[in-house]
This record gives sequence, structure tokens and C-alpha cells, in this order.
Amino acid sequence: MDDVEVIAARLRDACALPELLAASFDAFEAIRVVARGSEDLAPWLFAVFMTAADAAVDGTQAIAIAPSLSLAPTVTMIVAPHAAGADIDTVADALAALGELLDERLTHAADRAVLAGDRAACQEAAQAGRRIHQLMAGDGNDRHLR
Amino acid sequence: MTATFGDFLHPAGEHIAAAVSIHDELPAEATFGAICQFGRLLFTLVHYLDDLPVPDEFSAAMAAEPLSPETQTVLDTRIALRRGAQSLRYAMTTLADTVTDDSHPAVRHLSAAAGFLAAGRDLLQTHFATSPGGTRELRSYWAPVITSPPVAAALLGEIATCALRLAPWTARLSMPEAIAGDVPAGTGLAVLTASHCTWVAGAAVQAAHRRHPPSADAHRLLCAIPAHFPPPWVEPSGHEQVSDLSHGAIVNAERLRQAGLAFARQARWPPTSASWRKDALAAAIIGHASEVILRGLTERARQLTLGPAICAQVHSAADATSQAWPTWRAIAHHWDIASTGIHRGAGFTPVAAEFGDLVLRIGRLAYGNQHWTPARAHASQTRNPADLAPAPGDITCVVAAVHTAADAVTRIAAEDREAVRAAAANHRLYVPSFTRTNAAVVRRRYRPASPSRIDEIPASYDDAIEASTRATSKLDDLALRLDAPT
Repeated sequence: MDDVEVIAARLRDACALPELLAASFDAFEAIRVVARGSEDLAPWLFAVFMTAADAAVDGTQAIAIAPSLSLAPTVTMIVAPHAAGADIDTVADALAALGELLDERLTHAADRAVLAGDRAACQEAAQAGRRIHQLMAGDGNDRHLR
Repeated sequence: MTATFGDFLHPAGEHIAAAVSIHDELPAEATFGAICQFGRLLFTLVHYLDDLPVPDEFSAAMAAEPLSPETQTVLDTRIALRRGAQSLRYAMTTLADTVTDDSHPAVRHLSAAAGFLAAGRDLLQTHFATSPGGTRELRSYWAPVITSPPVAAALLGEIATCALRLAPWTARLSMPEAIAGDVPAGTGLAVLTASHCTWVAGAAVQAAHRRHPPSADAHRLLCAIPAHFPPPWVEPSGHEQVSDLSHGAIVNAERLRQAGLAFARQARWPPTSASWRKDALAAAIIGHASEVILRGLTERARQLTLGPAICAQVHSAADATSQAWPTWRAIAHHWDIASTGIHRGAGFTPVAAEFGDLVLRIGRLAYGNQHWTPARAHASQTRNPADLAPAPGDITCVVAAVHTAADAVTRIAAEDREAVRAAAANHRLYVPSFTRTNAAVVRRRYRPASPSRIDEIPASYDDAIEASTRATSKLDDLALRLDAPT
């Protein structure tokens, strides 16, 4: 779960929009990789991790077309797909927290974005972050697969 | 309950039989009414024949190859009935100003028969649509059944039965003593011609069917054709018991089947990787939960001592389902990376909406929490088998839900595969550009997918459809054994 912590720190520290978008892209990608790697860890959470990975793809794709996302090649860490040593609740809590952080930071960014494309991307990606939080939190209230 | 063609065909036949059983001479006003209803019946029968998939008479005459005997029979029957209808059109015109008695039992029976036959044709037509170019399009999974040669032959046989019953009785309506008053003499002759043509039509089919009779199965299938209307939406309430969940899942699956076909033919929602990804996600979750349900039913069938054959079939269906859902997960994984591009504001499709409800209901059947959702807060252990099916009849109910869900998933898969193939052929598949180093990934924007990736995705759909078809087939057998609704 250290990789997720590093990405969360990048999200918290990002000041400019391009920086936040790049960190968000990597955060969604990290959620996807970890969720995919956790699908088989507990059969009763199969649908949870499958749906969270799907929401993470929604987030990644929303960010991908933000005008302010840098076109230059960027470098990011490889996230381990299997959270070695971490129990399933720790993994789920970490992803829930990251989803909540994405929601918070991207909602804030959407309010301040100048370009309509950035605003729409941040809103959609924030929604994906919110879904991930709802899916992964122990007290979530998710009714839909949509 | 959805109406079937048999619901209209059988009463129509009974009313015709009741009308022709009246041997007393009809008063003139009733005779006029009967002629008008005979006209309605004949026009309806002509419409049925117009709907059958045969060439028009001119194309048939110009065809280089000889027509098949079946096609020739349809054409002969249609020509005869059209001539009869033309004659009756004249007869009805001459009766336009006469007083008719529509209350006579014979007239009422003929009128009811015409109404039932017209409604039956309307029911069959719900399975077809007319394209903007004017061609007839199939819009349901039953449509190919309706146009199949065995069912078309069975329908032709029913038309012939009606014609042969009507012909001798309606000939009596042409007698001079039956048509009195100021009615022109040509009216009786027109009715006689129509009766004769009706008999010729029926006899043509009868002769053909004497050589090649339509099968009893085709006749049963014809009568079982349902109206193509989606059942009304039932919102998942969170308080549904097993029987409600099973019924709701069957309704969702049927609505999904219909939405899938309609969606595939609409340009309003151009298919995108996002919709295919959601479909694969839902299919994987439904399959995973279905396996859980079928494992529970296997145990319950043993507890209820339903017999080794049923236990083995439920177990076999569970095994087949366990092979199917991982193939859907593999497809979802493909769409993590590959994309058709981002289409902002496309909204959710009707298929996604139905899939969402189906996931909830199948999930709630599989797991103990009646408020189950694909969220960690609602996750729970699997449902107790005794709770899933307290009595043997409950097993049938739950199997019907899993069966229809599996069938709907397989059908959506086939639609998605065609759309994916079209996207691949049109070079609409993209992947992000990644370069891996020791500890980092260099990411660039999307580029066209490589040929190997383009080949992989449809191949994964082939695997998923094959595995899902196998699972559905096992569930077909189980549903038949249990006499489960499908």
C-alpha cells in the first residue's frame, strides 16, 4: 500500500492544474491496478473490486481528454497489482481514501478551471472518485452499477 | 402475462367453426352483414400471405431458377385469395347503402374471427420494423422463427383451414334467394367468385401439405410466438423476497434482450468501448453471482432429494457458469486499456440501465443481504441454500431467473461482438502508449491499437460467447427438466 500512499501525497501536493491532472491520472490507474489485483482475494468482494476498477477507468478516460493534461511524456511509478501482506480491508480502505481524495481535489479543481474542457474532465473524474469511495467505503450507499 | 399468437388463432378458429355451423337460412340483412365480414376475413388472410417471405408474382415469373414447391404454394394461395378479395370488394361496394344486421350470431362470429385474426397478425408484426429504405427488418429474436420455413408452413396451414371452412358456407350467401331487394345481380356472382377463390386457396395448401405436412412442433412454436413488447419495468425495492427477485430478474432479462436488439439498431447511442466495458462488467458479476446461486441450488437439490439426474444437471450448469464469467472479466480487462475514444455526455444506454437492475437482483439472490449492491458496505456471505429454495418449486423459480439472465447476457455479447468487429474494421480502437523502464512507466497519449491487439479483443468475445452459450445450453436443459418458465 506504500505506492498508493505516495500517489495520495502527490495528489495532495499538486498545486497547478496540469500537475493535479497528471497525479489524478496516475491515481486512477493505481486504483485500477490494485482493484484488478484484488478481485480474487475475497469472493464476496468480487463485484466491489470489479466495479471499482471500472470506475477507475472512467476516471482515467475523463482526465485523458482534459486540455490542460500535459501532452509531454510523463513518468510515473509502477504500482504493484497485489498488495503483498496487506489484508483485504486495508486495501479497500486505502482505495476508498484515495477515491475520496480524488473527489475532493478534482471537485475543487473543477470549480476553479478556466477552460470548459478542463471543468468537464474534472467533474467527471471527481464523480468517478466519488464512486470509488462509495464502493470501497465500509459505510457506502451505492445502488447502481451505472 | 404476454399474449401469444395462439391466444388469437384458437378463438378465431372457434368463431369460424361456430359461424359455419349455422345452417338456417339467413335473413337478407344478416346475409349482407355476413358478406361484409367475409370480406374483412379475406383481406386479413391476404395480409398474412403478403407478410410471408416470398417474392412478388412478377419477380417470381422472371426468376431464372424454378421456384421451390413451398414458394409456389404460397404464391398460388396468395393469388387465389387476392382474386377473392377483389371480388368481395366489389360486392361490399354494392352493399354500401343497404341495411345490414350485425347482431345475427353468424355475423357476430365472423366479425369476432376477423378481429382475432387481425390482432394475431398485429402481434406477429411487432417482431418486424420497416427501415427508412422501406425494407422489412427483424427486430426480435422471434422474427427469424416467424419467417422460418417450418413455421411459415404451419401458418399457411392455419390460413388454409380457415379458407376451407369458410368457402362452402359463404357460397350459400351468393344464392339469389339469399340476396334480395335492390342488390345488383353481380353481387351474388362476386360472392360466389370469392367463395370459389377461397376454396382454391385452401385446396392448394391442402394438396401441398398432404405431400409435406408441417410438423406438430412448428405448429406449437407458431402458437407460442409472444407479442414483442418489453414487460413493464419493476424497480428493485430492496425488500424483495426470493420469488420477487426471481420474477424481477426474468423481467429484467427479457427487457435486456429487447433493449439489446433495439440499441444495436439505433444510431442515437453510437456503440463505444465504455458501453462494451459496462456490459462486460455486468456480465462478469452476473455470471459470478449465478455460479454462487447454482452451487447453493446444487446443495439444496441434494437436501431435498430431488434425484441424481437433477442434482447432476444443476452441478453441471454451475460448472459451465464458472467457466463463462472469467471470459467476461478478461473482456473487461481489455477495455481497461483499449478504447474507441472518449465520448463525453453520451449518457447511459437502455442496456446499461437494465444490466444494472439485473446485477442487483441476481446479486441479491446470491448473497444473504437483501440490500446487496456491488459496494463493500452491502457485501455479505452467500445466501443459505435453504433460504434460497425452501421448497422444490422454488428451485425452478430461481433456475428460471439464472437461465434467462444467462441467455440475455449471451445475446448482448453477440451484439457487442459485431459492434466491436465493426469498430476494429474502421480503425476505431486505440490504446495508450506506455513504455516500461525498470521502475517507471512513460505514458503518452492514445495511438491506434496494434493489429495483434485488434485481433485479441474479438477473439476474447468469441471465447466469452462460446463459454456463455455452453452455460446457457446447460441451463436450457435444466429449465426444460424442471419445466421452468423461459
